[in-house]
Amino acid sequence: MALKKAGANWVEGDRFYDREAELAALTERVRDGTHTLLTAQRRMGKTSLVRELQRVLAVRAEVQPIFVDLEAANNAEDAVAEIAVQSRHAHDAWVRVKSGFVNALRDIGDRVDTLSVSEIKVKLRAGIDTGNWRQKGDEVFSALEGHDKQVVLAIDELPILVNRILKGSDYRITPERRQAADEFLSWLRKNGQLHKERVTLILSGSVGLGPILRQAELSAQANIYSPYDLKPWDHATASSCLAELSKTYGLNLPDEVRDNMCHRLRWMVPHHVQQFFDFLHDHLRRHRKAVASLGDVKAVYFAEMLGSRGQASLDHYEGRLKLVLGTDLYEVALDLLTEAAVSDSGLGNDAVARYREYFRELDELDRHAIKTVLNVLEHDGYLERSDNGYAFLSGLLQDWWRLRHGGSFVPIERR
Amino acid sequence: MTIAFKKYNPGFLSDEELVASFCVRTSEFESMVEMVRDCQGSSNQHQIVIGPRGSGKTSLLLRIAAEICRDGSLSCGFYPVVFAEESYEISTAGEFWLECLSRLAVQMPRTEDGIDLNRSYESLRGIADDQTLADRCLGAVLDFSDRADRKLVLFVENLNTLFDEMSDPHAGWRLRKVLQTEPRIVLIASATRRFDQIDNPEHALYDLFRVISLRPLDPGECATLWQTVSGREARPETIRSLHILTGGSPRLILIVARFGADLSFRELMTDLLDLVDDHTEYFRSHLQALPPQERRVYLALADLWKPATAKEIADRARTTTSKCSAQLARLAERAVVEVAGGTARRKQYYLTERMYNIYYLLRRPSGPHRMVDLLIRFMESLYSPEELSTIGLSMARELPDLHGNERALNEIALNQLLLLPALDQHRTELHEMCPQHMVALPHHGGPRLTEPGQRWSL
Repeated sequence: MALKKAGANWVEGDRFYDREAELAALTERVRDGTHTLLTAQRRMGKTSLVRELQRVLAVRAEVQPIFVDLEAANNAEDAVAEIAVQSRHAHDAWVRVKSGFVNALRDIGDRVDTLSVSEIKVKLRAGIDTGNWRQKGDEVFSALEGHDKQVVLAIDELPILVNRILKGSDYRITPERRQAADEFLSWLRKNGQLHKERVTLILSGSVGLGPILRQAELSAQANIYSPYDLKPWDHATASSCLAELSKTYGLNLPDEVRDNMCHRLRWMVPHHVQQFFDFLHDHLRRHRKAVASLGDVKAVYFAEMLGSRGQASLDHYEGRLKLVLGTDLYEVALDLLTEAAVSDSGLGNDAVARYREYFRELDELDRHAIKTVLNVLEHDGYLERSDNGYAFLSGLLQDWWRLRHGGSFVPIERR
Repeated sequence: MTIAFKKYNPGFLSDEELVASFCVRTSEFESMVEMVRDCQGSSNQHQIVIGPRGSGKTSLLLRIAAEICRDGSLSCGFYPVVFAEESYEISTAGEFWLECLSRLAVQMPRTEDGIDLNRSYESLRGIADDQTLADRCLGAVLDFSDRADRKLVLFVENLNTLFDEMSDPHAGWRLRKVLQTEPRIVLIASATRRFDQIDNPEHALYDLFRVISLRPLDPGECATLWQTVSGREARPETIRSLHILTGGSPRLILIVARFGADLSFRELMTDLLDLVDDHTEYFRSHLQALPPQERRVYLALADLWKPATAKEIADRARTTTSKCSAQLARLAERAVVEVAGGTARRKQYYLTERMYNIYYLLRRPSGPHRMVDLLIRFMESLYSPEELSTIGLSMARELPDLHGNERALNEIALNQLLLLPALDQHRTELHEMCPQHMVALPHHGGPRLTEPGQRWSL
């Protein structure tokens, strides 16, 4: 099957590439009944991996996969309605779910299975309110437990729903909202534990659940989920993906061209590899060329990957730091990252020591501020540590950061 | 063959006319159609075209819609649903799907199996609860898709404006959910600029679209468009002048090329003034949205008209080059200014919205002279002395019938035309045709566009 270009949405089938090891690991977890919290940087392919896992499991007919997307849910009631309506894929469970909503479905009687999904959801949602969502949700989980196969319930975009419950439309955490989020997560946790043998949860999302829960001091609610960190591709996988794509689209990307693309990216997030190819393909098409040169790669890298089109997809790195660190520590991170981006040797140990002195004299920051920030930067995949200090993992992010913040930056040794 | 063009509204063209007139943006077209063709599974790749007004977004989208109908391998799997260019009625997710149903009803009032979409639309439009409205309308739309056994490709113009006017804060997330999970819906949108919904990681449409940015046409593309519209080939120097005059804006090239084909100078100026009239409100809000320092640099660049270096712009804005460079970087980041070439150390910048430049210059006391000067230089590169003389005579003949600013602009143009060396042999004849007061006009003085009631006054 020829590999196709991916756009921005999740991918499957002829757009899904590699990840055999990850699929095997997750399949094993499903067999063990381990609840999983899939973590990774944005655009690493979490949703695509979960969808592919569900597809593979469905083909093998070992388990009953159910995929629930909570992107449009605003509260716990919406989430329960969404899980309920998606349970129609598990016939036995669906019969029980319907019996739990007999009043909400009474005016349509036997016609329920002839209605569209959205119409069924409207009906189910009408039967759920602030007072009964826990009970209705428990009934749905019980119905799933009674299915003849083990159910793998993948819940995508859970962090978005939790964030929405926590912060509302004015982005403020209030005690009431915190309590509502706590109640929802407790309910999910309780059902996860109660039905552990028959219903396996896989949680994922385009933003991390951890930072959101930490903000609200609700991290304990996530401790029944075993984290699985999805890593980027290695050089060989990224290069072979580029080779496959070029074959599909009738292009010639010589080895040195593919190596150069990987070398520039350094940290091969699948979306960035695909995006780089897409930009290069458009560039070659515009110039009516079929063979790419190093000059083409350079032109595309600077004009597109680091241009306004590519930049937007990197903005979240900065936003995420603000969210995780808060304003004061973000200022520290900004300095450390920019130092690492502009300096040829990265952020050396000497520079770290100087920054420690600098911030101690300048601010009333906690004496562990630098250590805290570096821990986050290392843990979240911005920097990697070596004997000599720290350096950017991603060449693309380093170049982007330098362009964005390096212009009038004064390195620590010249301050 | 006469090729039809509608400079503002390609929506009035038939599919055949659209295909015949579509001669630039072809690589973007091929790339986007290829992506539509690849939407075969349960995950679709949505696309958004971003470009300033007049850059060819509508033509590109409609051309893709036409291709879906024309190409058998596409039409058997996809059905285009083209939203109106300005969808002012949409302020919630429910209304988005109601509008979608409405467009389907217009395109296909009654399906082959007897479903009357107009009646569906009429029965659903009264639903007050937005969630119910969205679910029911989406259900009807998907029902159509199932019956037709084709995916629906929605063409939605000005997505940025649509989201600016959304009253429902969750509309984006609800739309995202459908786009991420519903295999029967493919969205192809356009926007005049990048906007928060797609650029801000906290917003719903972030990272959802494949973005296609429409750049200004290069000289080769200008030549192609020119030749298609005017029916005549142009020399390289003419194309160079055309490129400078229009900044590679397809809409401006269309206007000028129609002049090259059969228009009079008076009609050309009328078209340009109409263009300014049509966009005055848009330009005003565009300018007001800029912070003061950036606005200063932006206006300096508008005043210069041509691509200019940071130093040239700084001189005009009466600021330092370093400050000016910083402002230019911000303006470029927001895509209101573009880097137009030059070298890595001496970049050249110009306004992305070339039409804004015309608007701005027409409002400046001395601005029209600069624009008309470029227009006349372009005409000099295009026409022989005899043709220029004919144009000049025609302009002189038309002058007595003109009034107000239209007359003033034509007088400025005629005055500058008379100064061309190429017209040395015809100058006496032209002077005799001109109104008496024009003969004595100084080279760069002449009529002013400051009369009360001017059509583009603010």
